[in-house]
Amino acid sequence: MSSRLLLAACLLLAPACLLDRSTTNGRPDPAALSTLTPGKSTATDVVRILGAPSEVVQLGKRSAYRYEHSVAKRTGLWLIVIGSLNTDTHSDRVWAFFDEHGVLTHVASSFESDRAEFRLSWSD
Amino acid sequence: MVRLIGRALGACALALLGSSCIVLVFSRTRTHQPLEEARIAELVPGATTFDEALARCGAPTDVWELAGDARAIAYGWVDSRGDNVNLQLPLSRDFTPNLELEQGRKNLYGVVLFFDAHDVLTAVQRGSLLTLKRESTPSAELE
Repeated sequence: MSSRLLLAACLLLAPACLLDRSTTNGRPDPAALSTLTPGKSTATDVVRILGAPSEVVQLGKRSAYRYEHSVAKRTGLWLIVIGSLNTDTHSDRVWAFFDEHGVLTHVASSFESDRAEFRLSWSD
Repeated sequence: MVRLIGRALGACALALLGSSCIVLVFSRTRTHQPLEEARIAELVPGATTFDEALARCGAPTDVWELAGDARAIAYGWVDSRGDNVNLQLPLSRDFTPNLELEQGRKNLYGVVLFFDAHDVLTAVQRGSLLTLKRESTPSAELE
């Protein structure tokens, strides 16, 4: 009985924790987006203001540029042979859509990278 | 007393050895924020425009072209749970066999909005983004 208690104590007293944060690309500047004007700004203007896009998508004669900044937070807890590992990833995204002449038609943005949290796998 | 100490040391040795070889991991992966149902319900095929969809749903996670100069935008998210038994045997410096048995559910989900060449919404589909993209992309080239 006491050996079982000792084993239980070993399991409880020897945890290992992991906190890891990784980011991908720089964050698009929300203020810079307001300077872009659909129907007027061009692809050159967008690249000058936001920098090189993460992805260029050809949409028939039209095109779209994606800007994405992501934050991943990883939380781990190990108790000898049992572990919990949670990865929470959120991103800031900006899509700039252009017509066949390279003129900006639409801009869409979502800023969610701040929602990434350190939390355990069973938490909601 | 000696026997008790021996058993305790044996148990600790077993536990320490086991920590590097066999690990039961309860893992969870969450990526992106799910699109709210209320926003999806506001989308009306035949009426909602591309501009309105972007204003209501925000920046998509993926965009691709469709046949006839049409296009699709996708909102995807992941919330997967996996209970993994990870067995590692460090046999040598350069060789570590790793056997991973996974049981659990993986949930890769998303909503795809299809627009015609005039940027009017034609359909809203739910499901695996990869499958929906494969089924609707004119070229077979997919990452």
